Amino acid sequence: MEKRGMSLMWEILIHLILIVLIFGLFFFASVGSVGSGQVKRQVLEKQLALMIDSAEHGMVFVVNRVNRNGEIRDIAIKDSEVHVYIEGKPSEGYPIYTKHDVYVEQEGEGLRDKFLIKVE
Amino acid sequence: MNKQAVLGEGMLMIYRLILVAFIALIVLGLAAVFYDYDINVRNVEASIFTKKAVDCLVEEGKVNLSRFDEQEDSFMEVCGYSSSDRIYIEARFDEKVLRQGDAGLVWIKELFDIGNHDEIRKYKPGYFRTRLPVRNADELNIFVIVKNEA
Repeated sequence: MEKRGMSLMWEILIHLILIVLIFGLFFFASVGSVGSGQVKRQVLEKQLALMIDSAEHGMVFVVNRVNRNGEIRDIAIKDSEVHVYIEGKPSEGYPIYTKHDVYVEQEGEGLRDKFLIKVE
Repeated sequence: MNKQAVLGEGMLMIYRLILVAFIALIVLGLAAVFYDYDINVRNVEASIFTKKAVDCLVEEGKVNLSRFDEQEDSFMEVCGYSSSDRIYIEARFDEKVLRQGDAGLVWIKELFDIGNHDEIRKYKPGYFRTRLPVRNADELNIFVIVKNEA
């Protein structure tokens, strides 16, 4: 009777371990696409792209590093696209269409760090 | 050892594992679809580019087309804008037509206007049209189509 009980316990334990392993496998496979990080990145890129598109010469946009859309690691303008890098996530970029030159500079230290997007 | 019992137990284990995997797939798949949200700003872009086109064409309330005599198919370049295959701008004034970009986007837009395309809605081009009265008689008609950025 005791042997049967032990065997049942082992069986349940093995089942539980396998269930955890399978869920863990699927979770880590989808963790890149599940989550609000990509949505936040998309929001920032498109907001910046629209602001740059409608900007006139001499305008400067200030974006705080610590933002409600996440902590911004970097902002870059590459090949007529604006890229925003948040919390280690990759950036897809969003195209901009402007006749002005656009530069990105950083200012400040630590949490008060800001990105200045200058349209010249 | 009862071999049949062991075999039966093994079959049951496989069935349970498949069931668990299926449930995990559904739960995480639904979460991935829910979070994979596309934000479409192409209509707003089209309205911004319309304003740029108006600023390019209109000086002090009048349309001056003489500047674009030899660049009717790339009129925005006169104002310093480079060509882009993602944007199509068309301006009509006094039977004259000025264009910038790929005219094929008009055809793509018309395709989306016909019928219901919910599955591919995220690829629908952005569109904005305006008619402006101008001082030198006729009105200026401008429309802009912005293609999906992918």
